[in-house]
Amino acid sequence: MLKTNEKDRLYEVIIAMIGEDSSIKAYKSGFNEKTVAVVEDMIDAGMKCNANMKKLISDLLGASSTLTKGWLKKVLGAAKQNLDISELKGYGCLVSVKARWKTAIIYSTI
Amino acid sequence: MKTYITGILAVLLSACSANADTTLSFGADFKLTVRQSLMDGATVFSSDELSLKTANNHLISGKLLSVDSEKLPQSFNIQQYPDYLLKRTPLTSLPPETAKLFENSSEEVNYSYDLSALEIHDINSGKLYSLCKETSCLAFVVKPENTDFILTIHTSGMSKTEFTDLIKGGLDAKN
Repeated sequence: MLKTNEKDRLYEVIIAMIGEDSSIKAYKSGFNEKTVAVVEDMIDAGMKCNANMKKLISDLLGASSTLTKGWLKKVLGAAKQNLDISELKGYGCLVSVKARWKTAIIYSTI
Repeated sequence: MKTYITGILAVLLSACSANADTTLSFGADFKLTVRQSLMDGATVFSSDELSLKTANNHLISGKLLSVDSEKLPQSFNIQQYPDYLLKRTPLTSLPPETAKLFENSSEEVNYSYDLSALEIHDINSGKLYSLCKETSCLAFVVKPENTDFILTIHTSGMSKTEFTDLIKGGLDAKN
């Protein structure tokens, strides 16, 4: 069960990667542990799309950059500064790749 | 007499349910017929794709891809999309930005689905590219007569055999 601030934080991470998305926002209240796992996978895969993804990770994790399974859940509750969305400068993969992840995120909430 | 009528009704209902497959329509030329057992208790939802979550928690999702939907140059031949993405055709003939998009996306597809697992099948109306990694599968369907669109479908929770049967059977059903 995610707290409201964790859901907000998770949505921030999602939009940092793939941009504002009203269809995902509509499911934000349903975000859960499965969504966290999907987004963690999306970030792992997203490093293939955008080298700046590593910047997002280091912003989230602070000095550490070790990505062990479950890392995202640990940092969601942490009160860090807002992510600098502009840093990513585009997803860097084809639209169909992004669409697959959007579906996976919504699927995790149903 | 009552038993006789009940028997006839049972046969008729059974016949009806046997023929009650559901069709997911992505476009005039791209339809996927799925057996009724996958639809029982399923949830249909929309994202950027037409998506189905089955009662067994399997995901079936897809969309049509075009030059416009993928934000590719108008000169790009969408039928070559799978060949570039799945590393069957070198990217050298593409503009650098487009080539970079495909290069990055190929890496992502390899990470998520494993490019070495690629299989290509002839289907009744075109070509099917499919690849699976564990229980995540991705497919592209190209129909020679449709130069504007191709279909992509992805699933999770299904074995490679289930996925291939779903796609090949569903596309060949009546489409």
